[in-house]
Amino acid sequence: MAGRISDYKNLYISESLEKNILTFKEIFKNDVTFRIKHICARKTVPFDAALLYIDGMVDSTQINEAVIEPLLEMDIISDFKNLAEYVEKQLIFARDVKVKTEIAQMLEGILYGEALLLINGSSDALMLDVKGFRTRGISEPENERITEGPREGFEEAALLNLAMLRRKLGTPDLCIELNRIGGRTNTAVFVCYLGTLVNRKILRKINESLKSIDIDGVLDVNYIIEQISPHPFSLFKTAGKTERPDVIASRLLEGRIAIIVDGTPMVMTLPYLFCENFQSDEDYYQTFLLGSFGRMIRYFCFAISIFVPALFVAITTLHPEFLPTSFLITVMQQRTAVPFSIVAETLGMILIFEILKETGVRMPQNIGPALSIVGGLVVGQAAVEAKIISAPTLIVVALSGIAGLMLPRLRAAVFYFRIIFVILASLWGLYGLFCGVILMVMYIIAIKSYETDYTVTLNRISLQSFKDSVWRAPWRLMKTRPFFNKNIIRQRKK
Amino acid sequence: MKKLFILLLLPLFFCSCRQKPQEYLITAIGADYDGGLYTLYFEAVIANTEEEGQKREIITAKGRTLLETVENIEKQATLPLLTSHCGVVAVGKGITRTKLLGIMRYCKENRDIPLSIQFIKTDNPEKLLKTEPISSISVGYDLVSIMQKSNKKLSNRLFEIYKSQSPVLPKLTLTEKGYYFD
Repeated sequence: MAGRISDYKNLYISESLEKNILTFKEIFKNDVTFRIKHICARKTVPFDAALLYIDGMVDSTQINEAVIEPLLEMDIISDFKNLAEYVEKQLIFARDVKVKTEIAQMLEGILYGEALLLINGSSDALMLDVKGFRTRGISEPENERITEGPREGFEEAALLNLAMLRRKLGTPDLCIELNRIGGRTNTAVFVCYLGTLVNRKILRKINESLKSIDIDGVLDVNYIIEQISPHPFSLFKTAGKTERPDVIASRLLEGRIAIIVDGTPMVMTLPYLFCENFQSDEDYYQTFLLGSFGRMIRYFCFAISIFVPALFVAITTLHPEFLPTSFLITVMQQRTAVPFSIVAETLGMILIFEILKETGVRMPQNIGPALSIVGGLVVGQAAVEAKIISAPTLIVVALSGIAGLMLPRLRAAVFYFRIIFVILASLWGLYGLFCGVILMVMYIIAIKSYETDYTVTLNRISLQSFKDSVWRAPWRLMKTRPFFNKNIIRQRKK
Repeated sequence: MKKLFILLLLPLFFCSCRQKPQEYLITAIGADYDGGLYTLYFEAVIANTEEEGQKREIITAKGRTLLETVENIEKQATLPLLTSHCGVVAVGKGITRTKLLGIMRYCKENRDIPLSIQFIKTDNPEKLLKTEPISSISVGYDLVSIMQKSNKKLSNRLFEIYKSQSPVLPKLTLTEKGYYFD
């Protein structure tokens, strides 16, 4: 029994309508939503056809008005060269009509919401674009809320997403390529880029990677990211993800490539640079002074979130001389009755913070604040009073956790490096921590995102390279695109 | 993966073993020499729970050499000694110039003792350290604060005097009303 569309490659329909209907009936024998509508027009010459579609995925009004009515009402002549071509060009009014002969292509269309018109006496069939499935509608992305700037977000239907993108980029230079990935889902994956700005070498590599994917199904863009990532085990993201069309448009204008997957509002962009982890969409929609400040705060928070717990462990256990006496006495006092070592306490608190965060995300919106109060305040306070944990550790972990929330794109890196640094600091103190920092910097520098150095914008010290990485320069100073793209037009302006 | 997980957990146990439950926070050191023996007085503060507050102790030990005396102090102490926050070394009448240089060398070579530790002279270091602190948690920190507020430039910190072959130390006089520098 064939389960994949590719199993029907090189199989063609015959001229017999009855035989063709039987073929499709056999293919969809277990699908109750599969519909076959027989059309028998007898106004002039006998004309027999059948319309095949999946219920719920097509617009029935369009089927009636653009296909069935014209076929039944119009005078069909008999002196045509090609029956399918005649019907396509002169009888029906569907948005888009394609002539198909291969069964695999027909199945692809039917499963994508199109209707198939089989005509008796023709070995060509017509694929009619009468898609009409319901979508969620355009709304603001929950995870990328901003106070200023465009509010629309992508949704699950890729074609709608492409239209939203096209509306932002009014240029024929926008190229959109279609790939089908997933042996059983046959998901439509669109590769978008601006033809004159894209780096062809990167594009070729991405296309090769996409073609090499062998997977049963693609339900989200992350299925593809993990398959084509050059560093699949990297703690840092090497592909960008967003739900905002404005972000995708801005990335395409920088010469990047966007990949839109049907069925998910998340769109990926490649290549992805380290500095993008610290960028927010809002940086560009408010004054550059505010945008730059916000960006520098994010770098600072990254440092706080990964180093502060480790510094606390190193200083309190191995380098108490760094602490002012009064603070040292406070820490000692607080820790007198606590049964755990500082490192166990810190690691435990980090894990508890992650549990609370995860629970808060999964909870319904109206329970979230209550959970924060119970988890954060009540349990935290009670644990300190019961001498299970000490107040300084709680403060340090909370500070680090809150700073980490500023960087949602670095969630994995922040979590793992925080723990690694705490362990290094507990074993070798500040020496361990500094060695860890050096190794982390080397690790970041060694990452490549599709032929592009991950830290390309930070590698050289110049105002132009820092203009959109460390701070957000005013638009009049943003003269060139990022450095990763040497082969294309560098100047942003005419 | 299992091995990695165990490796990640190991430090927790090792660090727990190494973790000191409580420490003597040494705030001042007194030193004297009499009858062929060194006497050291360590003013130690133990940080108890918030409700109990801090406890102050003077740990005393004698020995033929400076190192032996320090070892005896360590033996006597029931908790580990934390000398990184020590503020003052008060030397008594019995400490001659050569012995003072030996104490300074020991302080310099002990990496835990800060280089900013201040040296003073006094008639009776034991009596000085056993008086009740006035404004802070220990006599040692009281002395540091008095010296900080002093108008005179004392130049008695370890890094200022350890190269000198005949260091001049400020003299502290202890009276019934308190103490003052000459």
